[in-house]
Amino acid sequence: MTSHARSDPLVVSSSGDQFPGFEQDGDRAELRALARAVADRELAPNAARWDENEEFPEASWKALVQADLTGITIATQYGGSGLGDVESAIVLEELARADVSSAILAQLSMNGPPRVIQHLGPEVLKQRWLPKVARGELFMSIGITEADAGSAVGAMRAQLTPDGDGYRLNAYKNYSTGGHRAGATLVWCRFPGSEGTKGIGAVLIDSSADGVSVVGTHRNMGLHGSTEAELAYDDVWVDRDDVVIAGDPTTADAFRTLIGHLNHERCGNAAMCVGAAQGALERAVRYLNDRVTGGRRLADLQGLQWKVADMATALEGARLLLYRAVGLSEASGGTPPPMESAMAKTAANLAAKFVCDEAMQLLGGYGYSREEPVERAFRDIRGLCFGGGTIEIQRNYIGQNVLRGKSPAGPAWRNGEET
Amino acid sequence: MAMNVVVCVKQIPDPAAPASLDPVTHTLERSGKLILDDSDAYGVEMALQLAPTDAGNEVTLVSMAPNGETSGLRTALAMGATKAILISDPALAGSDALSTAKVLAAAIKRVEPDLVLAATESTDGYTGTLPVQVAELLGLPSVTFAKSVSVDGASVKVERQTEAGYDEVTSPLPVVVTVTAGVVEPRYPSFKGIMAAKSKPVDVLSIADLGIDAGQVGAAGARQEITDVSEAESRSSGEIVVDEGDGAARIVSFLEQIKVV
Ligand SMILES: Cc1cc2nc3c(=O)[nH]c(=O)nc-3n(C[C@H](O)[C@H](O)[C@H](O)COP(=O)(O)OP(=O)(O)OC[C@H]3O[C@@H](n4cnc5c(N)ncnc54)[C@H](O)[C@@H]3O)c2cc1C
Repeated sequence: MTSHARSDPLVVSSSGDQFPGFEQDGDRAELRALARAVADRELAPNAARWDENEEFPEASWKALVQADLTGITIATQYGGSGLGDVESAIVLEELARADVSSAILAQLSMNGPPRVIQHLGPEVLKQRWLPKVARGELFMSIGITEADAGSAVGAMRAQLTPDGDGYRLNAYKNYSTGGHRAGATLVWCRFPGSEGTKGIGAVLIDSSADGVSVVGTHRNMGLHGSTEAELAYDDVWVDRDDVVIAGDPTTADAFRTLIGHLNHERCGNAAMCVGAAQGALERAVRYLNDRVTGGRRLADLQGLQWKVADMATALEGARLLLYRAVGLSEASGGTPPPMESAMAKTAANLAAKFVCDEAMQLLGGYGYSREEPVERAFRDIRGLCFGGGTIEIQRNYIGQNVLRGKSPAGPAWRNGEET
Repeated sequence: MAMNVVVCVKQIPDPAAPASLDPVTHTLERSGKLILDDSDAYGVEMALQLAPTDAGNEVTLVSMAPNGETSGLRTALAMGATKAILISDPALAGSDALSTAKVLAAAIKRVEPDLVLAATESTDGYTGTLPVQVAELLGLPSVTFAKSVSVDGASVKVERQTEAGYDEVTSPLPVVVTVTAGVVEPRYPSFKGIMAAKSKPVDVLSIADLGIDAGQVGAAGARQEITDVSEAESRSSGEIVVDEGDGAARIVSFLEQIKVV
């Protein structure tokens, strides 16, 4: 199909040799088409319902499973499709364009705990859980944040104590997306003797295990379909096999490895922001082209054209950073590199805030109505600016590293050279 | 008992794209990319429900299309069909419904199916004559306008849509059944299905492979000729009745005039 290069602005060269993420023809184009069809046909029609009723998007989950979109990053030997971060970004972009709450369910499966288990977990754990995720029998939630440990993850209190051949877990995780519906949760916690970030590791806890309880769910501004749960763990038995990565009290290596794996989620988060903003921009463009006031189309007003130009430019900038980050994933050991991921998330969070806000403005009073999808997107993407590490935390990372002479990929930066 | 089902599928120009007619033959231009006719997705879904392919049944697609076009077939293979037979031959250009039926029947015969499914009509040609012609050429019974189909041993039970309701029809297998649109919900091709479809067998045959003589088919064998095509008359705009107190009476007199009341 020769028109592909024109219709998809991401294709800069058919080989994509500079940045592998930009190569989006062939299977990737088919994947995008499938995700778009699922989003249009199954997600979009119900998105307002999940939002209004604060209802779990059961029908979206079924559709995602039926289309095999939840297991795409799981290796083929566990029943998945063995794809990577570029593909999950493509899928999340398309899904979030219709409904961010539903897209988050795919995000948890594609970029959440299953990824960590697959890279770090023991074989028995992989065999026990990954095929279930690939088949869509369950999804997993992430338990990092605690009441006194948000951005300051190293302040967490979740604690393992030795018991026979295993451990007992005592923890309170207060912001787990989908935790109330998840089949299991990856709980970050302190191994015996841990202090600061040293000795922090992670275990996988079956939601039906004794001592696990859902204390409640948050009533958020947006993301009403997926929402966040508070989870309590009282003396929960943890088998040695349930240890995804053990914390060694003498080093922070396990903690750093876990932080590194968050880059999958950061890129997925960026992809959802880009997708939701794309949807908002498209609605604004349609409205400007249709709406005639005082005999003139809004689209003919230069003041509004400039707004659209700024929105499109911010959005494309974020998208390019995103596809660079995910495109470099394979070359950097299977995880998107940290600096590029932090930049992608920052740019996408900011672009989504800006684009959704301006789209609402361009839609006039209708944009502020709960009948308008842009209003929902505006509330939904706002939550994405916290999850996976806030914008400020990403900036901390970028700023500190640039000042230390580190740079993102590309030949333009003079790494560490005197200027 | 494993079932062997054939679904006749048509690959048509994308209805969402602008269509054009050949100025000489007045037939639809079919040289670009073709897609699975929506109305055939129901037949494919019905086949997959009656004969689940993961339980050892076979669902074979049979299609006739120019230029070795397989895009539409890949969609149906991605839904779960086992394999496809495509008859593509330059000599088939200009075929009418009967020529097409001859070609499809010859291909279907090779598969020796228990059941042949087709849509009641295609959404580009709308002749609605092909399936019964295929049945006649194969010497099989045909049941049309099925809104529900179930197979019980060696026979098929069909609820056949009528203007008043539906008839319950039972026929021995093999049989040709046409399926109306909307009776089942066609499944999505899943991502794994799309990937698997790339390596499913598509047998591309010429008319020589089927032992059909070029003089019998295509423009040469056509018994039907499109002599002229004209644009449908554009509808005239309706009459607006402004209610000046006599609105109801004027509506009643209008309805009387067109003999509705
Ligand atoms: C929609 C949503 C989904 C979430 N999903 C999950 C989940 O699945 N699992 C999970 O464990 N957690 C989840 N979280 C929690 C999220 O990771 C935390 O909210 C986030 O890390 C910030 O922590 P905090 O809320 O405690 O804020 P704080 O850390 O108290 O921060 C408050 C403010 O101060 C800023 N700040 C803090 N420290 C610094 C610093 N050093 N420098 C500069 N600024 C700083 C922050 O950016 C923020 O603006 C989710 C949150 C939301 C909103």
